[in-house]
Amino acid sequence: MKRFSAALLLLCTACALLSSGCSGRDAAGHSTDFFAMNTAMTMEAYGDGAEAGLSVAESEINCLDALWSVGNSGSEIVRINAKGGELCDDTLAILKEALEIYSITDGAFDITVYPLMKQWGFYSGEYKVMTGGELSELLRLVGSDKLTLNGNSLTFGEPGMGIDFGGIAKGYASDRAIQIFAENGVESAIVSLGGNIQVLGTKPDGTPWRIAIRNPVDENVPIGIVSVTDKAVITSGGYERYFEKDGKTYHHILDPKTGTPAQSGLSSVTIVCGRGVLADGLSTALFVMGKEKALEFWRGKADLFDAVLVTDAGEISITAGLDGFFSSDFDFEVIR
Amino acid sequence: MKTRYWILLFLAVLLLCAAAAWHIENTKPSEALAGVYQNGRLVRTVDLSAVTEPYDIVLTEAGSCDVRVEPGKIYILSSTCPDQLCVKHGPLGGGLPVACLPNKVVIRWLSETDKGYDAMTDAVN
Repeated sequence: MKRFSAALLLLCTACALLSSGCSGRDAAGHSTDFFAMNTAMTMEAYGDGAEAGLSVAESEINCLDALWSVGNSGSEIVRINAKGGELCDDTLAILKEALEIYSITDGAFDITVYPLMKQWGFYSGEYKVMTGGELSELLRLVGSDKLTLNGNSLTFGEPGMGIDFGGIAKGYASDRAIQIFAENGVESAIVSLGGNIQVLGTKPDGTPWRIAIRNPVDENVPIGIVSVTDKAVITSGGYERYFEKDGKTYHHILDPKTGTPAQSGLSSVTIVCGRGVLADGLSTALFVMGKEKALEFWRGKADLFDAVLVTDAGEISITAGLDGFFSSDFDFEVIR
Repeated sequence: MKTRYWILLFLAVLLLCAAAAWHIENTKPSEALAGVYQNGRLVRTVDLSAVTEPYDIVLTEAGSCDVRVEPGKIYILSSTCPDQLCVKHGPLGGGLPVACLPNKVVIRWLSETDKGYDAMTDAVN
């Protein structure tokens, strides 16, 4: 009997060891996949409030999408672009964020590129290369300094002006999702809104989230991996959304000052910071600025964000705050 | 006699553990398993390592989307969407799914090999 008990004990110990070796993340996870804001979205959350948090966050993102879709005739943004008017709380909040980013980036990020984006065909897919007089006319309609916000009422300085939150809407949405998760008691989560990544806390096992940065020229070999906790990691680049005409490539990130696709010598900019909306806007702005201006800008705001820049020649630069948190198979320089 | 008994028992347990480990390893989902989703629903699972002959999965719930499956490869062959971005995307490869937004079709890995990261940031928009 004693021998049998000992054998049983040994067997149980072996099974326990075996099962503990197979366990993965140590908390129950839930995830959801859906379409919104013209892209595929994935959210993953861990903890007791995960399921409820995901459901509320998905509804919230769908609501924001309905407000700001320039392709939806019933959206608030379409109504506003027709003749200005009163804004709901979320639209007012994102507009204020957009104006702040416009201000600190000296206009490198500008939501009033709407008429340009429309005429270039980036909404309809019926692309047209804008040049000469037509371009000059459209540039008259660009500039957030021509917007007047009185309370929650927006007026445009010129007829034909319009705004598009496409450059920051997903960042705003990921901020809201993370906020909703936190309100629901979720301690660990990751959202990917069409390639915009934002994380809450650490992974369930307590280690930082590891976010790969897409290589502009080879999607199978990331340019590097950044380890983050409670951060948004958001990339802008011209390599995904573009059209070709007469052998020339035209991407969708327009320089608000020239009205044409930004040719700054950068192929991608990734921003790492605590707020999705800021990361989203700054990734576009720094892409437009080019490397030298972008780094000068960072030096003045190093407490706000960090960045990974990739030039057209494939050179990688990271800002000092990422030193020790960024790994890559490629050579890279650390900017201080 | 006692020592011999314990050695035999130890070997038996070791054998049991090895068998269990082998079973677990071999019942893991294939690392080449792709999922085809429409309107957020998983409509087809494809083990690309088991494909020997090319075939098509035609999805017509929204617009029409023709998904081509070949040995080790899955991609959107044709679609009624206006921008054709999904067709230009080519085969499912890196961290991001192949997506046809107008037709609400997504192809993504169900069990990715361990790439050493949790997600990939990309300049989709």
